[in-house]
Amino acid sequence: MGYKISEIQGKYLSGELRVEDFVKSNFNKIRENDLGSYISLDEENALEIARIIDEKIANKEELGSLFGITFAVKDNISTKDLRTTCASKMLENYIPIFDASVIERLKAEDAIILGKANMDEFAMGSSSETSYFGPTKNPIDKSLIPGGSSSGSAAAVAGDEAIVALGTDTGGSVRQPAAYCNIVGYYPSYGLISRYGVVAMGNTFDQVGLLANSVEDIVKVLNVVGGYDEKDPNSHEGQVDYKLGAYSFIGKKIAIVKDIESFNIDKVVLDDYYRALEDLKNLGAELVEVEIDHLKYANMIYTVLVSAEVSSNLSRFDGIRFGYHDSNYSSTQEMYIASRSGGFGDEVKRRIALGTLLLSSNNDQVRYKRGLKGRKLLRDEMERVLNDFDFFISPTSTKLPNKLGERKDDPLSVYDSGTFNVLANISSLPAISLPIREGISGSIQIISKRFEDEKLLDAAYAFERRQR
Amino acid sequence: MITREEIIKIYGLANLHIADEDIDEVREKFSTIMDYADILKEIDKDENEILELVTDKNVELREDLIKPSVKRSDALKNSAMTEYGYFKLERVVE
Repeated sequence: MGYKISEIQGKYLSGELRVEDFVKSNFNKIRENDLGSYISLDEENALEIARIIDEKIANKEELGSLFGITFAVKDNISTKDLRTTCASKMLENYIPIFDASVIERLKAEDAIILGKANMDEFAMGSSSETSYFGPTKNPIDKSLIPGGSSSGSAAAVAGDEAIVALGTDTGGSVRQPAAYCNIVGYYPSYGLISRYGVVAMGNTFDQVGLLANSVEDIVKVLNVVGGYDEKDPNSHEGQVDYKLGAYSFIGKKIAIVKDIESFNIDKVVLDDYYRALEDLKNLGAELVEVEIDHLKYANMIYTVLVSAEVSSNLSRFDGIRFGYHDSNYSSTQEMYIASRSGGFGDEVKRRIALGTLLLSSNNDQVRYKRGLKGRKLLRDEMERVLNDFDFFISPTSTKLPNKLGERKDDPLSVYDSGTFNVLANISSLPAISLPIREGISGSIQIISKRFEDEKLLDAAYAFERRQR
Repeated sequence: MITREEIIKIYGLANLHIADEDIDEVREKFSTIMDYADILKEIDKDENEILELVTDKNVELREDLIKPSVKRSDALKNSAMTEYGYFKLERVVE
């Protein structure tokens, strides 16, 4: 059922397991599974750190809270001296000169980074099929997609190739692959985890998210990577030191989606969702169907605003200071065009162009401004709902994972990251995806008020420990 | 429907190349999205405010103080070509 932090650390301390042996077993598993979950491995360095921690344990020295815990890190999070490609030819040879703040914090607590996880190119996609390095397979059924864009992060955790993973989530990119690989995926309140050193896609939507086999492990890692960072201008003041075990669903009012069957949901996903609702009722919750009036606009608000942010954020790639460079040019603009066109994949180029179209001034950015109005309306509506209810609950994804290579070419579905997922990103609200049963199946998503992450995680913990 | 000329102009603004044979496909895709985006007209009322970013504080400009930055060798590390401690290009053009 996957690795857990407390179990592995218990084995380290009792002498039953050496950190070096566990790290070796992770690398063996990566090779044996052959899921394509990692783009780059940092084997030598990881084993060296493992030996240092083994020595600390032997000498009874002070240990960091994540000692010997193995991590897969999505390849759009900057790691010093370890190649960071964003799954793009553009950054195929890019080696960062600094660690993202989240990486600094993990290292300071004796965590071990095994390598960089595969993803959709520049986090644009939901299947890993846009990765320049080839797709990732779903560890539960290798013929299926693992979801995305944090594809390798989810596959690595579900496939026992790491204990925990860092992903990023702009419109469901942590929660949807977590659901497809049947693990826990968490998107924090905007500002709770530092974005410093994370390659921006839609910067007002992007957050580092966490993927693990249990809520408890999510909280252990969040207590390390969360909290104020002066290097991130949108970072929320205050430290994160969450505890679990206090939340009870008894007597709590929870909002659920009204007319769920009108959302074109796979039968299996719907049945699992109903199962989860029964469980919540058995836990003592009162479920109330709530209509979100602006939900029907969510996907378009998301598509419009994120495309615009993408076109702006990806304008920094010019092929001069870093990144793919094409030397075949005879003017400055030709140099930019040659380098960018050669370095970016088709999907990335299309999204940059779409964003450029939305931001071009000949229509006074009318569609972009409408998107911003929609964002305000939806955000206000979600705030009102969450003033009346503890949580808003829905299925995480409306679909089960499809077969690898069956990617639809429908221009709208490409941008459809999941109506229920984008709700959280548009409104800057925290959300968590939880498995309901074993195997390929539906998951539920719980959304809470902004900065009520501790309550959200504690409720998720209570749900996870429910008696069936 | 978006015109071929518009697609060419947009790709130029984005500093991206588009092959002639791909233009029609992109036109179609973008037009579908633009049509669908018209659903947002329903909420485009003057009294509705915009929201760019949910933030709990005003981001202030820091003081403009000179302080050490990255080492020159680090800054040049990921460049395709360097010379005498500077970025280098194959040729200088207009």
